[in-house]
Amino acid sequence: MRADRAPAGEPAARSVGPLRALLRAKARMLANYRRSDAGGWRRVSALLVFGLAFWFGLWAGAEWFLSRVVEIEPIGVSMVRRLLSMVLLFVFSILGFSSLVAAFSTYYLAEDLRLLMSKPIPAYALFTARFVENTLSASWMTLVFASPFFIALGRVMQARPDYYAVMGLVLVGLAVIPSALATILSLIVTFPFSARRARQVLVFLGTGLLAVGFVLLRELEPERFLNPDARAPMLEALEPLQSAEQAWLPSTWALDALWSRIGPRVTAGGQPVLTLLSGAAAAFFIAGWAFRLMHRRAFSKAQEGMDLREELGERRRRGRGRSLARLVAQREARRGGPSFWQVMAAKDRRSWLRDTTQWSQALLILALIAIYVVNFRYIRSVGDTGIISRNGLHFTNLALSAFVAVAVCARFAFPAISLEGRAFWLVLRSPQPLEAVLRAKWRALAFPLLLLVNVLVVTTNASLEAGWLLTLTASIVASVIAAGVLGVALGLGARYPRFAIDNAAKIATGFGGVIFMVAGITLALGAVIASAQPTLTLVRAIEQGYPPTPRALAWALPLGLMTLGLPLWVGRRSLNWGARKLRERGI
Amino acid sequence: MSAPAMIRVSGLRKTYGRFEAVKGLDFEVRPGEVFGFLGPNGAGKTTTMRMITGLLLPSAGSIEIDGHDVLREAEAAKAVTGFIPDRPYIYEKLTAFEFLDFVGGLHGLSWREIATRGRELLETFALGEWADALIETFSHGMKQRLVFCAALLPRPRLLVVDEPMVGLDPRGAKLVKSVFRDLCADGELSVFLSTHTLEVAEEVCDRIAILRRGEIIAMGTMDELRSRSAAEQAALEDIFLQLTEEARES
Repeated sequence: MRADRAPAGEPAARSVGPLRALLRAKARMLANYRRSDAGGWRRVSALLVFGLAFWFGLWAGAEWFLSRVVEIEPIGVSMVRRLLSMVLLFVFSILGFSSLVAAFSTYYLAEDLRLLMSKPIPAYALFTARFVENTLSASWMTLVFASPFFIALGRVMQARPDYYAVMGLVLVGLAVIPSALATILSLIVTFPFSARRARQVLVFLGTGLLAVGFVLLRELEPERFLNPDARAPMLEALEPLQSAEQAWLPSTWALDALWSRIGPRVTAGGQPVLTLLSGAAAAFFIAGWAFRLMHRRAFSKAQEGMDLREELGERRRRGRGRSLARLVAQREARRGGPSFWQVMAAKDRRSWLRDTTQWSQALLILALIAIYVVNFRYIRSVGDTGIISRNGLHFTNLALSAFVAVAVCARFAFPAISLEGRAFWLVLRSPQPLEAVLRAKWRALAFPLLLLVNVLVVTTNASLEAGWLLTLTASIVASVIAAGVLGVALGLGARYPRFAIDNAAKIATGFGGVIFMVAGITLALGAVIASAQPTLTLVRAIEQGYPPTPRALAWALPLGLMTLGLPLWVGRRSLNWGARKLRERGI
Repeated sequence: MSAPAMIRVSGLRKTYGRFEAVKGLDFEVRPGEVFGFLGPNGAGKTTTMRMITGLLLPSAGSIEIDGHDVLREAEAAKAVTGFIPDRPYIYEKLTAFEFLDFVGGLHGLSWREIATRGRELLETFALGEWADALIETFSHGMKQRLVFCAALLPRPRLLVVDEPMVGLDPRGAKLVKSVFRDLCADGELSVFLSTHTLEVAEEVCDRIAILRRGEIIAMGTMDELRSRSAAEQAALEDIFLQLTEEARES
């Protein structure tokens, strides 16, 4: 007999089904976000404003770009179709990757799963609830920020209202299929390996593939669409992509569904969109079947953190682990003691090298640098056309190097405090002021960051044949900016820590990360702009032999001081402010 | 003249918005004393401990550790205090010995001191053969024992322990109790501990304070608490239940 059945004579209590209960709990958690101290209504509002501004910016940019492309006679419309094909393939790949990353957490590693797995929840309800969660968490951001392109496409092609309805269905299909495939893959892979290991390997490989794909896309230089002379080779390069329009690829079904509503001849649009939606439904049911078949055993395996302990115990027995006596002897042979920043740096270095989930960050940075180098060729060719002066080119290049510094700081410096995680009480308990903790992190990160920025600046300046003086000033300015931005990243990372997050890659994507990106870019741009007049005055005086006029000097001195002083001052203030706020916050 | 108190808490308050978690506490912990802090869930024990260890700033009042004000001389106060939280979150990607290196470095110990003291503590807490294993492979009890090693490494004068027996097996629990007794008997250490295991409190504490809804409702030795509850032969469990029940009714 069911326990929730009402006794005779009493009105029947409405039973909350397990699926509904699971989904409602998640919805409530989301709704309560604004009530929590960590969230707060102001923070949500600020995020919304930033997000909307960015969304409308994307929309305007996409509409401008597409309207230029479509006007190219006689191949404009054909090029738009190829562009759409590329975008859909790219979106589908991104969704596949993010669904796979999220799947391991959603189905095996999430903290609430131990509770849920101990409850009598039917497999269909657990699967459906987790599937909805996985699909939404993995795809909402990509779809929200991809949608301006599709809306702009509809407007440029003067699509009828039903195009937008089809677009909504296509986005749903594009989110569901990768999520279902990721579910199936995670179940299969977790069968022989533990979930943690499988996620680490797949995330690492996935990020690598994504980075390579991104660089290849940049190699195509889509901006050549707007350049009539360069269009022919561009179209040749896109040929392989067109052949990627395979009938079995969901992105091709999405392409056909959308194009059927906007092409020169609007065809009956039902069939392609039905193909996509029935494919999504089939993928969902197959994933559900696989879940039912394999999840219990795979989940059990995911809990086997013990296998690592056994493995290490075995290694110790085989004599590969160092004995306590040997460890003690190694340390006793050393004189003095470790300094505070050295122990912090050693701890961070060891943790980073042993945590494979963080390696993907390094791949992203490598991809960013590769994109910078690839784009640099384009910047140089713009300089050759005379559209931008050589000086303008120099400062554009300097600004781009500063952006690389901001991006590197967002990935490595901003999360530095959050990565202490729940173990942060140890650092907070040490007899060192929090300012010293942040300074230690600054010191450990400054050298590799300055090295990277200087390598970029010096090599690109050499390529621009900028001369020793411009290269030297650019190197000094870039170093000062990098040092300052690093301070801002650590300070804001301390102000907006995310200690409980399980994925290092997500730390910089929150509210604090957005604030840092805006602050870092503003600071970097401000310093580059301020550096222009003093740099040019110096170059004219030393390289060209024109003594500076009193008026030029009156501008150059304060601006020069500002360029060198402001980033360092802001960085230092941010560092101390972040430490103070973290102390006030406590844990 | 008597020695200064190891902990002196005066008018200590902590509020979260309109909610007052700790309502004006006043107490002292003497050198060499094991002081127990008992109370039902939500009484404010962990909040008080976090304020004493400098993890949380008080809303009002003062805390002195070995004569150092926790707010004005935070680093000096932290230098003489060891802390063992109830949930031992530590850097999982370090080995046990690297973790001790790290904690020793935070306290400015020399390599030699870290090595000799580290070995002594790891062997005492039966972790010697795991010295070079990653902490992520440790069980909860092993992590808890490693946190004890780390807390005792810089030879603190005060040990603040939140739920010392959580996760420990009977052998580990017995070891911890004997470490408390030995170190406090030598006068090297004072212990301020909170626990729900009333037998532990009864066995090792010299004095006990019972907290309820952010206020101390009783404080003293076991005999003093018995006389207050008018139950001469009562165990701590009975006294605790009686006093907290009385406070609830009043």
